[in-house]
Amino acid sequence: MAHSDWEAVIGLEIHVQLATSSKIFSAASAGFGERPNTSVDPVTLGMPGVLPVLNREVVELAMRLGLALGCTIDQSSRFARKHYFYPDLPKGYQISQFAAPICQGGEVRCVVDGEVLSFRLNRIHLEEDAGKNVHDQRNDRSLVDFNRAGVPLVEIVSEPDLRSAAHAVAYMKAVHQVVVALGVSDGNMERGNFRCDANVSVRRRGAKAYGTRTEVKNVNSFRFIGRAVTYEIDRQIGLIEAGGEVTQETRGWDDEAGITRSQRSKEEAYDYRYFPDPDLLPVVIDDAWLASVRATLPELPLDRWRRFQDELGLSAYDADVLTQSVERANYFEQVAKGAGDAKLASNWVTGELMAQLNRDGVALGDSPVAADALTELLGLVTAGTISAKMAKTCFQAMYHKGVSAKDWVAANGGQITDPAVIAEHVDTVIAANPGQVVQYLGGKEKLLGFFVGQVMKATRGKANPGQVNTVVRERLAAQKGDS
Amino acid sequence: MRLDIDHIARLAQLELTPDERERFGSQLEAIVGYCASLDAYATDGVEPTLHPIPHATPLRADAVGAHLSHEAATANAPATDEDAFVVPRVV
Amino acid sequence: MQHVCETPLTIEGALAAQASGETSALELTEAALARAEATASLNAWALVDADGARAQAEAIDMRRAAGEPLGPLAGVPIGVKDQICTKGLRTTAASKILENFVPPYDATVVSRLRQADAIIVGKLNQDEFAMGSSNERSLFGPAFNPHDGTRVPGGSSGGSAAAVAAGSCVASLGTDTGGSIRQPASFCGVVGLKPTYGRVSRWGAIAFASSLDQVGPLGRSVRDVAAVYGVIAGHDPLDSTSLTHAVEAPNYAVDGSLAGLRVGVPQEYFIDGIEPAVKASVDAALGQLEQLGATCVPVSLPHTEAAVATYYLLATAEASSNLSRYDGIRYGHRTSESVSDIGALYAKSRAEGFGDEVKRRIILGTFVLSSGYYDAFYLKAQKVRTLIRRDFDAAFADVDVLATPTSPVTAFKVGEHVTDPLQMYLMDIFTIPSSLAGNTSLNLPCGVDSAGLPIGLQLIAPPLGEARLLSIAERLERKLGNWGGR
Repeated sequence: MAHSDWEAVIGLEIHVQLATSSKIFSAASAGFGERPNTSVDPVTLGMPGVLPVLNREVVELAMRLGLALGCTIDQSSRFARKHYFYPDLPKGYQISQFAAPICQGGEVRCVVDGEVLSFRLNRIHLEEDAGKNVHDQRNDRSLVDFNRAGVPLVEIVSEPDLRSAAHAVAYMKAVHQVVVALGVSDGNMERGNFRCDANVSVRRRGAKAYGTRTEVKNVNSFRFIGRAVTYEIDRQIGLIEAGGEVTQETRGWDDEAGITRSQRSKEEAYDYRYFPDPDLLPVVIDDAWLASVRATLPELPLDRWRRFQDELGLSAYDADVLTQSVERANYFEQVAKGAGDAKLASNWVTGELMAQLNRDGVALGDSPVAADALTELLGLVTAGTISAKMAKTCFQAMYHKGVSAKDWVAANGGQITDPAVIAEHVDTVIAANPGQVVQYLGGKEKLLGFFVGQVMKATRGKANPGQVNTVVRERLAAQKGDS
Repeated sequence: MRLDIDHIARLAQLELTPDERERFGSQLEAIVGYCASLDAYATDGVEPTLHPIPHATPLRADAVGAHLSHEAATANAPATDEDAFVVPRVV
Repeated sequence: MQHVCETPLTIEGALAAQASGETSALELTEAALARAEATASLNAWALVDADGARAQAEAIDMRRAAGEPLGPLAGVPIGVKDQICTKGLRTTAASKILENFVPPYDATVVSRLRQADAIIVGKLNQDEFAMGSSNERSLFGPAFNPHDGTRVPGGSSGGSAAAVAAGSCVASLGTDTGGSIRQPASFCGVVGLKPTYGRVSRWGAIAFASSLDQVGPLGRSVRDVAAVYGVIAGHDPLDSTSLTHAVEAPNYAVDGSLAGLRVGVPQEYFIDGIEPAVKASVDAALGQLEQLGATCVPVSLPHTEAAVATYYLLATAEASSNLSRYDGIRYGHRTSESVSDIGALYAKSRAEGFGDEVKRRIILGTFVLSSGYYDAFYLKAQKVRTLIRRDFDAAFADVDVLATPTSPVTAFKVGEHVTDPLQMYLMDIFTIPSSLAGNTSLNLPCGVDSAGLPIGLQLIAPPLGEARLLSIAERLERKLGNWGGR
């Protein structure tokens, strides 16, 4: 099939669990790791006569996210009831937002192949999560746990502006970075706190009308989204080219098989019968509240990515690596500021430090070398107290033995920079290797490295390599003149 | 107006007997026909009354409060195992 | 056979008799229990908690003996409609689907009664899920009218009205969505107050139509009703639609005239279907108001005729949503048929658990909200609701209260109207509009028909006008004097 004839149209719906202590409409705990059906109260279980009362923090977190993504905040949004029957849905309806969501419009910017793309958002709305059905294989039945029911979510709905699996992956990563950077969510995908559904359709390139779309549910990792969207695009193109039609339906991603599977078709009719929830009044946000939330917004990952390039002169790649998490970016900025050399700091953080942490599977927050310790080390490098090579040795000692850079230098001595001392070492090496001198003078100039190496060895790596290099050249050149 | 009573019953998850189907069908047509009399009232530009008294929804501080004990949470359930509510297989 | 209480006891009387040592909370409770037993044929009670009531009474008597301060309803036997959750005490809303439901929480109104040291005697019969005007549609079977045991007590709070009239409790709680307190109060000859929407917490009151439901008191006098209202009204953080305004107490000026009071008489309420005795009795009551110095003026509520259709669209839509939670999973009835798929479990459990009228309303409400009909029916009704509210706003710009019949008819025979739902709905024509507007209204008995059946006057006040409404009603009640065995 000729993919160049086709264009994919993708929209993503991302559900993000908000980082609150209690549930969206009741005081039951939103932390639900414990025994099933214990983080519950009468509201969670949808018992007769109970009523919802909205958690203020939920509204504030949604405002933070909306403001950060450039959405219009509706200062009088409303809740609606969305009706369907499912065992994990306690009331037979989910309290969600429909006609008047808290955030409208906005955009998600992300980096694809070093280029900044912007994808429009349709809306962000608040809703409550459902519980969880677990299949009991042995007894061929399902078990329902409501601990998760009533946990606050935002649903972030994009416009169908994405055109490839790469777009989908980049968009999802960007949203993840933002919600975590803002403290809106812990973004934990394994626990289901960040979940993605993809609406996918294809059309002939140049066509205006959208094709029939399928909704691929619960593609909950960056890897899955890429694979699932790619698969679904190929499947739809294949289907149409073979003379078939795409059915509007919900599909699930089976990662093991690497395919999407039909889950239920729209014929089964989901008529959600939305109507404004009479138990909840409009969510009114006054200007002062909006302003105070705006004032506390941190810098967004993409803005930081730009600043690292524009102000600190980092490459797009390095800036991207450093802005993958707020923690990493903060660590880097502290070191860069202290050491007074952003590029050096970037090289060390993305190179030596991350390599070592990755090797050991240690999180940055648990790094044995804290930002101030690394700053001290780089300070010694820029001051010329130690060489880059010595710094690596020193770093290993800091990392594994917990010594400070200053103590290490005190114990091992600093760099040898005295020209007389260096010249003495160079002369000794030249005198001891007459054969190599002859070869060098005969044109084998790559032996320069040999002489430098011997000097470094003799000084146990402490001689300033630049100076050694210069002196070796000078002395050998002098020998040439002599002969 | 003819109501698709089967579709509505399905949405409402109510199994109807043939007698109920017949009876509700004709009663509802009468009631819906009566309710359609509202068409006589001009409502262009009239705001719907979503709530009888207009004010903002109150906001609760984000604090964890009392929970039901596991026993109290499941005491009224028709079928449970040790931890959970039991239903026919759905997943 | 009549079961009307011949020796009415007021809350004031009950408090005074206990304070003087003439009686005790336990004696009052025993008297209520005995009366409940003697009038058991009325089927007013869904559950009598005799042991629990005695234990509460004994505790109050002990606290009194120990000199402890007691609440404003200390030792007063009160019944609670089965629509309202009582912790540890079975609460069914008169539905098979909640046949064995024991709430692990109290409704706010119940905890406030307990804090006021009232004795909760038990749970009162009603129409299933408060849907009905006759108390004939109940898990417990029909309740009967104490004035005539072949007649209905009205509904849906039929048990709440019948028990008060019969004297098996001093006062009771009912719920009112479209008239469910006022109409049975009218049929049984007692006072019933529907508070302003948002004035009394709905927490723990099982929802029928959330934008209309209000809990309110029924009693044998305005003062009793006001006393219970004073305890249950006020802001509740558990109900997002609860108003924060302070609760004002009524002012009972001993010889107060009602000079300057303007009483509006909506012309649309004096329609053809109204029984002559009802009209005569209400006219007489209006005359009494004028004798007290009030001025009665005709007013117009032009959208009255639209109210019943508006109400049935909105109330059934909300009900179909509120009743979705009864799925046989976390509580309530589950089919005993062996089913292997969840859809069958829902459809059968709900079919078995809900009664005829409830099913009919769920289906109507589901239809109203369904795709393609929402705008034409639900949204349209919400807009007409605005027109109805504006009628009241306009009327209240000119008058202080409105006076109307509560019901066009007196209590009808059991079985008389069961078969035609639309006819039944139309009987709520006088109570529905003020429910839609969200204002406060009450039923005040104002006479009897030739068969001795009570007739009720409805007084309607603007939102939060309870204190004024109760003050006016109390003054008129004294003027009307004792009638019909009350």
